[in-house]
Amino acid sequence: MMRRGLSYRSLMIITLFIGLFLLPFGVSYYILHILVMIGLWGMLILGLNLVGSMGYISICHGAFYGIGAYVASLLTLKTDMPFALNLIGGSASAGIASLLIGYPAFRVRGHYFAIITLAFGLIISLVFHNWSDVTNGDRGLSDIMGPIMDPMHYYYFTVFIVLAVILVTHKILYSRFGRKLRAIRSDENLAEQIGVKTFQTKLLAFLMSAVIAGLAGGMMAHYTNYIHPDLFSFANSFSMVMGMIVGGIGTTSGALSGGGVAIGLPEILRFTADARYIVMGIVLVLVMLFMPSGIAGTFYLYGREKKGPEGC
Amino acid sequence: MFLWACIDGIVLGCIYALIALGLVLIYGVLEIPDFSQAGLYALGAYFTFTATRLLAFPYVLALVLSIAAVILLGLVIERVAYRPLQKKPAEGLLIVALGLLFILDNSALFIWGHEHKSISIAGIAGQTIGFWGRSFSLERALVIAVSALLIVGVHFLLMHTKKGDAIRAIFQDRDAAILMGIKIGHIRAITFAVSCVLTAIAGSLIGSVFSVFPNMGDYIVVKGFGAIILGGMGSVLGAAVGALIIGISESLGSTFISTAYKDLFAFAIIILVLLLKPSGLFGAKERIG
Repeated sequence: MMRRGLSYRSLMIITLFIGLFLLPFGVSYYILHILVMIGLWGMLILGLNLVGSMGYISICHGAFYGIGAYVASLLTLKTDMPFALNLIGGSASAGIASLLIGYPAFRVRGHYFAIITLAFGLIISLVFHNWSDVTNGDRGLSDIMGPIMDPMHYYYFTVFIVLAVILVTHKILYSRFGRKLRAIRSDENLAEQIGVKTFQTKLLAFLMSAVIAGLAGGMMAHYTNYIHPDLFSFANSFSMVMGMIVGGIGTTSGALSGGGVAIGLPEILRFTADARYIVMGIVLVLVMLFMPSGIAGTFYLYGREKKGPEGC
Repeated sequence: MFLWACIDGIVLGCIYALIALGLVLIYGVLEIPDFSQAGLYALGAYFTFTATRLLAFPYVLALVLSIAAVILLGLVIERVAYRPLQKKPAEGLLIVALGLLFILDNSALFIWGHEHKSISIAGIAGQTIGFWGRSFSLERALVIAVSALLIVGVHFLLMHTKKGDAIRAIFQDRDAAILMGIKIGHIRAITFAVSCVLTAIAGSLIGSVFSVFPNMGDYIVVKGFGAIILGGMGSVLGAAVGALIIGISESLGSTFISTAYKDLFAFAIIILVLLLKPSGLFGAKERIG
């Protein structure tokens, strides 16, 4: 029984790989673009999951995404450093920023943490808008050229990085460290009593998730070749959290489907024109009311999936 | 200059205080970080605008109608969206609140459009009072007076009425309060209605000083929560004082340092206080009054 389940699983994964490889041959550039964006947002939400699985909501990942994008772009535009180092520089800066905000923010718990991160996200957004000497203000930065210019090549690059991030976050969530995160989620005081250094654990998880967001930001900047402050606003941080929760917190499939929802839903709702965000809000509220554990969680309840991190 | 910046700060702080009071009451009783108050704040302002400008009602009547409409909307939100989520995980509440804010903001945008509007109060619009050699618009004076009255009113409601006792009991120990026979559903609705009154008045007042636009509440609700955190999370008077501190520091920052970054000072103060004193300025947890 176990053996059959395993081979079925590996068959699925192989099919998935072939599908991912062949996909760009059959679709238009528009769909390809959507796929790349879903991949990048999947990354963001995979990172956000590390914070989410502690039961904390961060509403400033748009800022980390933006810091990664701006720093990587500026490195590309102003220096001759290689592409990979620019991306690393971007995600390292996001990591440093996450420590600066995480240190005060983790002194409060629950909803108040979310509000502090929201305030930080708004500060960073103001800086992007107003620090014109560096960020070029509302006009944004353009001509951010990386070595990979062809959309199809960029698709494969994104798929590769996303798979790597899936592997890393999966390892983290199922490790000893991941169990600490879930212990904090179920009872933070108890976790502290049994010897989990909660403050350091939370800060480290926050740092890792910001590093992933920063990397996604750098990749996005070199993919679209143009960034401006509105891409990293409160609305985007909110979309990430929405994607995470609608997908299902703490699961890989949830993160990817959440990315699909965050990118796909506005595209699908394009026909509703000005009422788009109203419809999105209504969809979100309905999802929360009727399937509070998200897409992955709902399938988990009805399917016979192996116990996810959620259930440990 | 310094003094005037402080007075402008107090005007801002009063508005933040009204919002913060509503938020702290809702957070205490419903345990929801109710971001939708920002949308109700904008709608309150728009209702008053529509009633005074398009229907030519007198300001006071428009204000009453606006309050009634906002209460109605608020009660619908509480009943339809928040009550069914009581037993669900806490992250859901935050998301539903933010989703509602999305709906309300964008509905305002859909109905009234992008342009900034302003509410004029017949009789006092454009009038000023001389005050230490500088003129001070009557609208600003009205903001301070009405806010002070409302803050005292809420304090009275909490400390000297039976409903207030019930609200404070829920703040202190929810389960015990329910066991003692407090009808939580009833108190939830009353709390929400009180918050809606504060929010609608705040929106209608600020609309006469500054302008009315669809997401006018977004920053203000974050500052309102900031005020609650400053004030020690759960203290009503602390939230009011926190709001004044945020308003004054914002006004001083924008006068003496930079207008473009005016919102930054407010948020920086909050983060700074958390670094120095994590429990907030008046940090007795779970207390009210």
